[in-house]
Amino acid sequence: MSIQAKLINFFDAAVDYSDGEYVDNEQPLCDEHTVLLKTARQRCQQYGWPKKRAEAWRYDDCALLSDFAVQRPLQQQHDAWLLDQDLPTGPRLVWLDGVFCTDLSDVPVGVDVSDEIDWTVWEDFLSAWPKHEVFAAMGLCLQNNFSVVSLKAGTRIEKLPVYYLFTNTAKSAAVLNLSWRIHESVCCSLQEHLRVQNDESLLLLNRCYDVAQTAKFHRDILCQSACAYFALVHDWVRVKQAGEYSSMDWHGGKATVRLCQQVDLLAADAQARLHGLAHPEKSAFVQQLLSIRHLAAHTLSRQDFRSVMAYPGKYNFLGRVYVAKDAQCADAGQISRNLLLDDGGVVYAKPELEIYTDDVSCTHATTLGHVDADALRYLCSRGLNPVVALTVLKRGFCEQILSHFSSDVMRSYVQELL
Amino acid sequence: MLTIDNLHVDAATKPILRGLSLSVRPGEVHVIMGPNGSGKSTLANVLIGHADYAIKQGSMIYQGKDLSTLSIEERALAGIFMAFQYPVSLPGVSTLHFLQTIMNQQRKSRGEDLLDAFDVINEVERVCAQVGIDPDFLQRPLNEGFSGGEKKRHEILQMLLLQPSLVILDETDSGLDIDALQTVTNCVQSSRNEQRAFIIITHYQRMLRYIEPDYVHVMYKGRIQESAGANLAERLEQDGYAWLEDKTE
Repeated sequence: MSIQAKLINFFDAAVDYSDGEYVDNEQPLCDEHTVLLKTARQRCQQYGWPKKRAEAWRYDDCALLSDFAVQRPLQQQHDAWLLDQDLPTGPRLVWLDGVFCTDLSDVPVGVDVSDEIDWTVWEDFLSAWPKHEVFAAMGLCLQNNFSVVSLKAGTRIEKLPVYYLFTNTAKSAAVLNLSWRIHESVCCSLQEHLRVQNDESLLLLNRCYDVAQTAKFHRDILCQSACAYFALVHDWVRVKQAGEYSSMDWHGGKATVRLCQQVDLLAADAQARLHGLAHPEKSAFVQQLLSIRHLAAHTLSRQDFRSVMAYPGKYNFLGRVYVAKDAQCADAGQISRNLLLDDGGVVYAKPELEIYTDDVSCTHATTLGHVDADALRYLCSRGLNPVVALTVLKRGFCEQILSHFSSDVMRSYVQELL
Repeated sequence: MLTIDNLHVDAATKPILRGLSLSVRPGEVHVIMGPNGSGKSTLANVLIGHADYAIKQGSMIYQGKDLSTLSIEERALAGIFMAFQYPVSLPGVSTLHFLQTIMNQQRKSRGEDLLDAFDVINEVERVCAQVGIDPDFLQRPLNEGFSGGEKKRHEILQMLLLQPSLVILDETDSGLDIDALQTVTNCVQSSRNEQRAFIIITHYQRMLRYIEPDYVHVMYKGRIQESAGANLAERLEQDGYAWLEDKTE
């Protein structure tokens, strides 16, 4: 079956056809939802989603989906797998197949989770992405479950575990549409876990993070899976005056993941520090698309993303730092470092700067290479065999970035994996 | 302990060592001096098994084993240690973790129990005091941001921890201030014993104020041209190497 045919099957499961036009299976939630769906669908149609059953899908990145014959998520019981997840006691937030799970969650004081929907957020979300980026729109079209998490002003939570659990079966899709509102003076660190039960399941994650003025918000993100699932992630972060956003993102295992992140620094003294480490196994593919937009003066951003190619996997880093005309004194640095340990590993990295003002400090760089032969020889000269020496160097390369995990447990877990 | 016989070595097809012979017995200290490009560092690298050098002729027998059949790590586990002239930096590799790894690798090869982190810290801190290293350095990435002198001290620290049989010091004295030189040479002197031999490669006689060698050799054009006691170093300090040219001719 061709990729086009498979994808048409996928959308067949989500929508109906009537005289060659799409019609929703599910009733729109409200007028705003109808408008949003229409806009999203137009976006998809404009960039390749077939209008009619017989038309071909044009979007190149869909080649990634070539092994999937996707169908609608199935509702099944997965109690045994959920028990295996060993969720921590105490405060935690859990989403199951994209729906907030009150049974498994323990919502801490200062946090409110609801299904209230602010449609303007999602309309903005949709418009935030480049027009060719249609996967976010796909998620909005396919599921009308939306969650909002609010962290009340002044809330301080040192560690808040968050679990995104997906039990959808092979060759089925699940969607998470989630909006985070981090109010003034909040200080919070999330430990986000993405766990997937089945191979060949498809996830579409749409998340918004609104960081209010003077709030400090950190995310530890752990995506390590023995499952060869497929994820399309769109994270949109907006940081207001003197707000601070930071993240440490680990992606390892067999999953093929496309991570799109856009961070908008909206007002003076807003800061964003993003770090990521990818360690794709076997033939997995991790694609990191990162766009940082300095939209106000005196904003700061730092990004350090790395990959270790220890298997014949694939990694992309496409980074962009945009500095608007009014963003005087912006300070930005973006670097991608990549370590090639397997001859079959493929890395394509391209950091870019797009600057429309003159009084700025911006740097970008990328490095790609094998381990330093002198360093390897040095370690061997101390009695380490080349395999152990390579592991030491690999861990050293990773250690520099793993220090950005706020969670010692997560850092130790990843260190053990390496 | 070590017998090198008529060793010929090429680096990228260029002959560097041209018939070098040297015999080192346990407990001896051999100093090798010579002008730049004479092959001193090549000899050191060949002894530890650097793959960029090709042995064309001759032999190196260490404790009854043909060194050319051993890999670089096998040589290290057999007790050969080189303090590098330019120790590499290992970003992200904590010094303590590195020391624990190399100490345990050696213990493992000898069939001894492995040390846990606390054992290693105790042992390392003891040796740090001897070498004049602040133990806070242990938490830093190995050699990253270290001064030249600090790197050399760390090489000596490793030597003291690993307790090798054959120590090669490749210009360890270069870049050291007087105090650091004295500390390093004291460590070398105090670690001398009847089982351990040293090959010290240096350009300067100053190291020999603190370490009394059994032999001083002068390398020139890829081979040892002259061997004598410590007085040979003094002559080199006064006369340089020009007289060797006449002797070679």
